[in-house]
Amino acid sequence: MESLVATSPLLFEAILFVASVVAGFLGALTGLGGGTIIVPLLVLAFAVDLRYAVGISLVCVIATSSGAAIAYVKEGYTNVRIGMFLEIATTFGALTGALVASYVSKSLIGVVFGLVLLISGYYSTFGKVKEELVAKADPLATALSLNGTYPTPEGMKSYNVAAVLPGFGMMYGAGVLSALLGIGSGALKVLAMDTMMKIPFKVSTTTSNFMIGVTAAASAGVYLGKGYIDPVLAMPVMLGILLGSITGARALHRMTVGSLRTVFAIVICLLGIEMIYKGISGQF
Amino acid sequence: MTLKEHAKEKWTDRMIEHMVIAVLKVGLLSASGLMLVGGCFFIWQSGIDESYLQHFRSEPAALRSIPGIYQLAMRGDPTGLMQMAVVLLIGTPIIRVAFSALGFAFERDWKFTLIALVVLTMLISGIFAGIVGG
Repeated sequence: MESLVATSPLLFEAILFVASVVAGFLGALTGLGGGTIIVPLLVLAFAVDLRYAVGISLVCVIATSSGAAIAYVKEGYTNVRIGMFLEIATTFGALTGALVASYVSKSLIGVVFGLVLLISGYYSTFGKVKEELVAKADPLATALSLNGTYPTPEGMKSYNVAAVLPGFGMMYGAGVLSALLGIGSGALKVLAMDTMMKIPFKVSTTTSNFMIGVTAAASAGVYLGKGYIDPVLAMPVMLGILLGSITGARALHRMTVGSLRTVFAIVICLLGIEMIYKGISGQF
Repeated sequence: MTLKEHAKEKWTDRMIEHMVIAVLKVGLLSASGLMLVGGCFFIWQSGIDESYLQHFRSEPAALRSIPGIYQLAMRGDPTGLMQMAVVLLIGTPIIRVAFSALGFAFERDWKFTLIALVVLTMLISGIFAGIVGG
């Protein structure tokens, strides 16, 4: 497969396009972002350099996030204020991460990426949604009008936001990770909002989706200037992911995704193991 | 805030959301269209060599800065056109934040107008920081 890049570049582009459509489609259905299939595919199957792959992964994240955003029916879950406020942390983290990215060894990036894949796969299968209890509001949250309401079958329910500063800190970390690995860190954001800040799950996931595109754009801007983003690579990937994620998001409410998630999670875990192996054996 | 005030705010939020989605659609459509055009030009070329992808060297300077990309694109250079499409894609979340800032200002929520502007500034400076940081 590796030699295809040199010998049959157009076939390589075609394969990449098809893979991107699938990745975008699955990503929209399972919430496991755009880059999770594309990066391992590029790096493991085609021996594309990790730096280019991470740059393209950021493009994937923006495409997935924006594609899903226009396709999902707006249900009034997203809390733009929480998202925007936390964006200060994630964007700052992303800028930090992107600026130091060239100094971080590729092996380390590969291994951490693999670990994130494993954790994502695990949580995708075994992660449980917690009981929704209304927490006590952090005074900072009230001062910033972060508390909100969301629609439930029983009508509009209000919720409070707790642990604002720790959540803020975790978002900074999510931003750095996003920049170093080219991922959206959506899972990390949902974790921080749902578990630490006691924000209802559906609000956390929709707000996270709003945020990941912005975080990725911050890193992507820096990567563009550093020359990590290759237009030839971007072409099939961007078009494929957009097509896939918009189709996937539209298909979402017509499909039961339980077993699909499990299969995807298993694939992700296998890819994760391979990435870790490659990183440890210094093949990056 | 009472539930009623929340509901009213939600209505303005929803209006802004609809505007944002419209902007996103335009942004994504133009980015995809440009990418398709550039892609076609690219494929039509002879002598395509992509082996450089397997050994990292930074992209040529013209493809790393917005003015450079724009110039290449205006000349009809395939890679310039495709990179311009990437820039448009990266721009869509940034424009989304700008619209949120506008929306907050419209609601006279100055705290969040400021917050959104801070995020916007960081996003825009990212593009310049990358070029300088090299």
